[in-house]
Amino acid sequence: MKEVIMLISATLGTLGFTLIYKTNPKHIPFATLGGILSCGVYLFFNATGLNVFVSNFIAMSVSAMVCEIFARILKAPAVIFLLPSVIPLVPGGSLYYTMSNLIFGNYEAVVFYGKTTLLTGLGIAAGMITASVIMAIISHYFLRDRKNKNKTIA
Amino acid sequence: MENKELFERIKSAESLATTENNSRSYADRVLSVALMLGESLLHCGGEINRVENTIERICRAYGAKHVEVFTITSVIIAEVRMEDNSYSSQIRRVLQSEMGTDLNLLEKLNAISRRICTESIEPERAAKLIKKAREKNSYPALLPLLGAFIAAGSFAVFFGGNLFDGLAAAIVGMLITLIDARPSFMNKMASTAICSFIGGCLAYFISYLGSHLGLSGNVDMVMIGAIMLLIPGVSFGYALRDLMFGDTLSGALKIIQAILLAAMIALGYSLAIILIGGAMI
Repeated sequence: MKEVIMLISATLGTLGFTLIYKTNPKHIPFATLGGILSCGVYLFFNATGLNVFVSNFIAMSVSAMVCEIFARILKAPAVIFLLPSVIPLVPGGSLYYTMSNLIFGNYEAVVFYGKTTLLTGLGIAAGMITASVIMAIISHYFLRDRKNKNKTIA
Repeated sequence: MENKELFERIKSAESLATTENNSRSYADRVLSVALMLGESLLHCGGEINRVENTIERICRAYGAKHVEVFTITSVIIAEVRMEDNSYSSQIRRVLQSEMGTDLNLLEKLNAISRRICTESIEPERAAKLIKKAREKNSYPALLPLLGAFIAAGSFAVFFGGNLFDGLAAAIVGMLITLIDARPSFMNKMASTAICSFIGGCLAYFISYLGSHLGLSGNVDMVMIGAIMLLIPGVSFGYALRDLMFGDTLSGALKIIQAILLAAMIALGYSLAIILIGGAMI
């Protein structure tokens, strides 16, 4: 039940952020779909007991890959779908708790939240890179995308 | 004050790029347009490697033999050399995120860059296209406000608040977004601290009202929902991504900025706790 509420609220949150980032209304459904995907995959793998880094990594790779596919189909830069779909994973809460505990002097909590922030951020970054490298390899070898041949990988 | 000067500088660079003037060399005109596009991309939230690639591709489309670009979050440096060995080098100091992320503009700029690369448009005409896309902002002004309302509310629920917390966070988040349109004399750190202080006070006030009406108000949940609008979580993630993509300097700058912003938010909020929380509880 808790997961269902989190998924629904993350969906609405992503939708809200697509409006804050002034996404073209045409692309809003796809960007929101990316957010649902990243949150859903994260919750699924987190429930199976994987740690923060690995579940964020898998969630971000899957949703970034889907975003890159959207970008190719809709002929728009991938960042338009990527930026909103990171939102449910973003370590905003833990980054805030790190700094607020630092101000109040709870150093044990600082270490805990700081670790979570760093691992989440690294997981997201690693996921994005994995997806873009895989897409670059696919378009280089399988789609014979001659126009992008000079584009460096990632 | 500093911001005003920077805006004037942007305007003068813009008028230089758009007016046709035969006394300037071809390399100079090409680089003006490329840097104008790169600068606009950085403003509306483009990644560093996208900016560098775009500048290089535009220069090559105009027939450049050799292009050098270096970009970090606040500066673009570029040099271009043409077939006839005429060259130009220019620097742009980029005013960071004055307009906030604008994915609609990013998409338009990307389309313009593709158009420049496929059709051969005169540099001045291309500059006018960019200027038009920048000035004609067709996005409805109320939608981002509505987005802040929805996002703050749903993140309060996401982090474990109840429906009343969500509603309170939505109202606080919308008010914070209204306040966040800061005057030009205040820098981003100070305005973020003030915003989160006001947000903290509002969150306390609304939760206090709620607890009197019999609805359980959880101040922490209200606040974390509203904070999601201010916290640079996305830029923290993107900073690590920049680091891993090889843009080490930009990544490091963004990480420092994100951590400092988070500290400012925590500072503003803890001031609210000390001043008001102590008085009410």
